[in-house]
Amino acid sequence: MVKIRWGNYKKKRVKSEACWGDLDVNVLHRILELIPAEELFSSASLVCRQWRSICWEILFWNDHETLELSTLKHLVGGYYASYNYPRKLTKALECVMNWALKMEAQRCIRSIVFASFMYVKVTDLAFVASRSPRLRRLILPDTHSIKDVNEIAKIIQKWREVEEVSLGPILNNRTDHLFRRIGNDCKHLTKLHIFGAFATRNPTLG
Amino acid sequence: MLIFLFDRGQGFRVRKIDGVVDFEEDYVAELRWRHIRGGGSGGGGVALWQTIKHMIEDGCADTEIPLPNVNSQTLSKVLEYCKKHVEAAADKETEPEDDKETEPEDDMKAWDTDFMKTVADMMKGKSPEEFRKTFNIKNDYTPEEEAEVKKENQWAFE
Repeated sequence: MVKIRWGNYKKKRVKSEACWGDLDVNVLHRILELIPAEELFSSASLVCRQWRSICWEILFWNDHETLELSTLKHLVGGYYASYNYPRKLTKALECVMNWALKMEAQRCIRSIVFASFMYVKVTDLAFVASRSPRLRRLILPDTHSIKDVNEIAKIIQKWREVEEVSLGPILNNRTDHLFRRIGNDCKHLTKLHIFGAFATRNPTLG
Repeated sequence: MLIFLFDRGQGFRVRKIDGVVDFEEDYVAELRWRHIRGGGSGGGGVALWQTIKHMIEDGCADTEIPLPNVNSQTLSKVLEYCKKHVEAAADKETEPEDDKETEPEDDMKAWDTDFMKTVADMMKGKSPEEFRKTFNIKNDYTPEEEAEVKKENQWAFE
């Protein structure tokens, strides 16, 4: 057991300073993981640079190259809960993507996973595309706010290195346009998933 | 051997001494820590321990490290943490049988989780400024940057 002997302990003056800021990153990461997303975003991420980078990693990164946006949607709030949801979502995406761009030296966005029922607009998607030129995998389960298939195609075309695309249902338009356009430009594309229904003039094309 | 010394006024000190330890009556505790069975076994607890250990090995030939501005809640938790690990080490010494060895290990892991939870609970509901104070973290943002970051985050509060 522990031996204790009472006696003289001479105090020494020590100049070096150590503090909780020196806490091991992994420990800090594990602790911060236990904090609600809202607080991580609004408070803990403002403490210092290191904390910000850890907080954002917990909030938005799935692994070191996958941006996972379900927490972002949670922070923005529900679509019906807030009348200014579309505007908020645009700002939120700007915020995350701009930051991701700043972090480009450390990490590169290779895949983006949007949340379901996120109601991403075409302009938002275009903005995201402009900030993630080297994307390889796109998962966009919700396409409700995107009316024109050509617009999606235009955006996907910008991702020259894209290998895998998963999209939500495409009902309003003919999907063969989409196939043709991205088929020409995205040479690396190996998988294209479309959830739910899609419309095409010539069924054999599918 | 590593000793944690608690200093009411200034915070909390770590002191490395070989052999038996002397300390002043009013300073609360001397605790011995043995690194249990190599790295990683205790999860975060070991990581925390290693941080302190590295701090001693790298920075301070002086063998003493002050950790200023640690509040009493944190302090008691750290103290508890040390105790727990010392007890586990002591258990290991007295009971070297193989079948019993895994138990303190699991116990440690659970305890580490609890430790993190406590720290996380302390963090809840704090403003950035309070965070910095509690954990003695230096704000390395310039005022302009901080304003910019706040502005960028503004959408979440609308």
